[in-house]
Amino acid sequence: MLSVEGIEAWYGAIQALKGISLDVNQGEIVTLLGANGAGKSTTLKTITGLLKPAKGHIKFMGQEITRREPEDIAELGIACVPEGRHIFPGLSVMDNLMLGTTPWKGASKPEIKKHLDRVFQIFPILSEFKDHLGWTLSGGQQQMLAIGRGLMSNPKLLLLDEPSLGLAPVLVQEVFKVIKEIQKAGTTILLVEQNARMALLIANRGFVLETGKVALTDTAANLLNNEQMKAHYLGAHAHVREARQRRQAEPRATTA
Amino acid sequence: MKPKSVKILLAALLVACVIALPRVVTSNYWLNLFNLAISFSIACLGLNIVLGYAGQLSLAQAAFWGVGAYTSALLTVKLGWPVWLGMLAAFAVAGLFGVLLGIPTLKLSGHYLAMATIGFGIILQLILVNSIPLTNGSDGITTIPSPRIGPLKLSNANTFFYLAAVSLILLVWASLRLKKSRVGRALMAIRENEMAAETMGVDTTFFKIMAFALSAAYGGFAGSLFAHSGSHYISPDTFSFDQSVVLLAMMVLGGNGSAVGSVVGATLLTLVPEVLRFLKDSYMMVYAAGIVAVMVFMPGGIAGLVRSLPISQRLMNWLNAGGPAPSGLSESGQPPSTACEKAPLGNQRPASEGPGRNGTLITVKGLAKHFGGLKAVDAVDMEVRRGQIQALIGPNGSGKTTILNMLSGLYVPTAGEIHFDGVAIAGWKPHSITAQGMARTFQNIRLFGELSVLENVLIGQHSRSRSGLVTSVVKPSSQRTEEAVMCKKALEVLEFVGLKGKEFALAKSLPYGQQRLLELARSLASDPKLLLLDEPAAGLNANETEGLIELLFQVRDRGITILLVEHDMSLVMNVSDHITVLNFGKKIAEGTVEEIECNQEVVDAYLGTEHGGEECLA
Repeated sequence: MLSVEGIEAWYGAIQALKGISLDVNQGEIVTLLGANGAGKSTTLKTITGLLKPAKGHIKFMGQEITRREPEDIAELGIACVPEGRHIFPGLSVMDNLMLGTTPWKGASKPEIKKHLDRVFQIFPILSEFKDHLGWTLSGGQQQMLAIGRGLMSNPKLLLLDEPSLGLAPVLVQEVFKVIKEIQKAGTTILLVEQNARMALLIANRGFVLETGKVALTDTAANLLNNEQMKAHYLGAHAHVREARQRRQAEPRATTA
Repeated sequence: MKPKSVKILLAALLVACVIALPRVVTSNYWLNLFNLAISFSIACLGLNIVLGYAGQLSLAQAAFWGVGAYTSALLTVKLGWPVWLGMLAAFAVAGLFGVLLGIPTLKLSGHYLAMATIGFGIILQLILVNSIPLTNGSDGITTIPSPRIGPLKLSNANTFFYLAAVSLILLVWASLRLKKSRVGRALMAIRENEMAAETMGVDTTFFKIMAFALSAAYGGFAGSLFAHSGSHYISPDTFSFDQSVVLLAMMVLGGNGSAVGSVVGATLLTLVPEVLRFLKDSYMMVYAAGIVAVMVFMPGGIAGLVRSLPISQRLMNWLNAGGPAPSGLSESGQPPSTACEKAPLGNQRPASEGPGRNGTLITVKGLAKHFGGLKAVDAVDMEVRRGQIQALIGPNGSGKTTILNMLSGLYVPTAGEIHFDGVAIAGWKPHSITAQGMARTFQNIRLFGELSVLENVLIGQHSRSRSGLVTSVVKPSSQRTEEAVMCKKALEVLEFVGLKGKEFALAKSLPYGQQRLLELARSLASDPKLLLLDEPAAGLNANETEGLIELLFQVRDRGITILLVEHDMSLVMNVSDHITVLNFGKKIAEGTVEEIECNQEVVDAYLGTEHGGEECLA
């Protein structure tokens, strides 16, 4: 469905992407993992057209979309939920959601209503606050609004940039469930996440980026069991827990 | 050759040019234009302080220029004051008018501020037109005297030029020194992020008024130079809104924030129209089209263009580093300015009282914040014990950030008391609370993006330093020592959080994770007793979070108490000595990690099954 071939991109004099290739098949959840600065969000920006790559090709459903304008790419059916939400703070929740339908040309009112109901079903709080202005929502609620707005364009491919950022743990679990549901309903998903474990639990495949290159790619199940992944990205909860217990056993002995 | 001798050479070259110019250019017409250009340059320097440094758009600069011109003209013509006294009075009176403009516009920003300054300018011009007994109205004031130095009367364009040029050089020099001082950094912090500046201890009210006053004073002095030269005649129509816009164009063309750029912009826009006069009818059109083209292709102005040239970057690095440096000092990680090396040893304050002292650091009673009908926080009692790491958790929208905002002074509580280290601080301004020993970071990072990493951390020390406007410009040894100590401390804090070698990078150019670390460093620089962290692990991966955990323990071990809001349970459950849980603005639980993990209400409302409950039965 989406194929990215040898993308290189620059921010001024700094090369952020050094030849990224990846592909997403219809109906999949594919996750992009990696440390801060590895190029995950930058890759999404080249796909949505916000950043023009210097080299390489991006194809979506057989069409070349490299270096096309963001609004054209959105109309083709790619929606993006950006990192840091970027909701419209001065508009109501309802207006934010309705603006999400902009790229969906020729949508009928009942179709839009159906999507709106679905968003409200996923995030009931948005229905409750639909007349509130965007900026009055708490951080986590804004994140829900951003995801809801992305869904309102009835996208074929949904790009999610750290959807769990700033959400309560119980909601994080909820959001990953929602992502799985969105996939089951027929939307393909490319997911950027810092919460690698959760992302791999719902994804089909994963790509691990390091300093602007693909360092590793495999099925999600294999990545979850990959020793390198465990050491670098999945975190060692047990290790930290032990450290804490050690600390409690000898409280602040190091500082006296 | 050493940088110092290069600087001396450049200064000598400048003096030679100033002395030579009236001898090379003998035409009175051109010399008068140069004098006018200098007057505009000084007015632009003022605009550069209020807009370029402090980021407050003022469209009343021509009005201050007029206030200065009229003050000096009236005092010399009607009261017979000596001209030099009139010029000083112009500086002072315009400065007072700047304060007058500054006070009512404090509540405004962006285009509302611009509108208010336009109104202010128009009112001033109307006063000049209509106070006929005082100002002669539209007829203006004629035969304004020339300044004299002893027996020497500066009545010719060429002799007056020397006075104007010396004033200009002094005022440029003062502007440049101001920019690299505590006061200048405070102004730029306001420009970059006013809320963060306030929480870093900058009294934004005071510094904004100071910026307006300085800007107006520069404008007033420029006006008096104008009045006492050229035609020796002034009338109200010169000091119109249009002229304010022209001054703005000059400054922006030169480069927003650059003092030298202001001079270049003002000089170009004064002289170019004269050069273009051969185009007859269409000359103004060509001139205007030129300005549009320049702004489109050089958004940073002339200064921005020059700065982006590789050669000038190398030159600046070389001059700053005190000797030949490899290209790109920021990457080489070499110690920065020489100031840092001169810091006296053993002169640093301890970070805090050190660990071990017991008792509560902060006590909150019945704290509430209502937004209209919404009770964001409702009657919350909590305590933070000294030397501990305490977490504040709860579902999204439960009021956690609202509590941090009340503690740090960004919100005034609707009700309740906050006692911090024995002092009731509810309702205090953020900068006073920072001075009292509280610092914070923000959920959505609020750095001073266009300033360097080092400058960000220096601003963090604002409340622990004292240099004022005068010492910032004059730089007595006490000020230099203070700068050196601050600089050294900044480097130490940057090394502590792991940002060594990034001192000269722009804050906005850092990757996300490092921006979070820089925010932490900036807060630590203020020597806090209590550090408030709003989602410090957001956007970090598991390994980066582990690094943060280590860092938090080290911060606590320095004797700094931490109150943090965080959703990443791998962090909260591993660092917290004590946890408070909120839901719908109310406290629903508090206790140790084990108690919270096993609290069914907390598991249901917040933790979910992934993090809660697993070990409770054992």
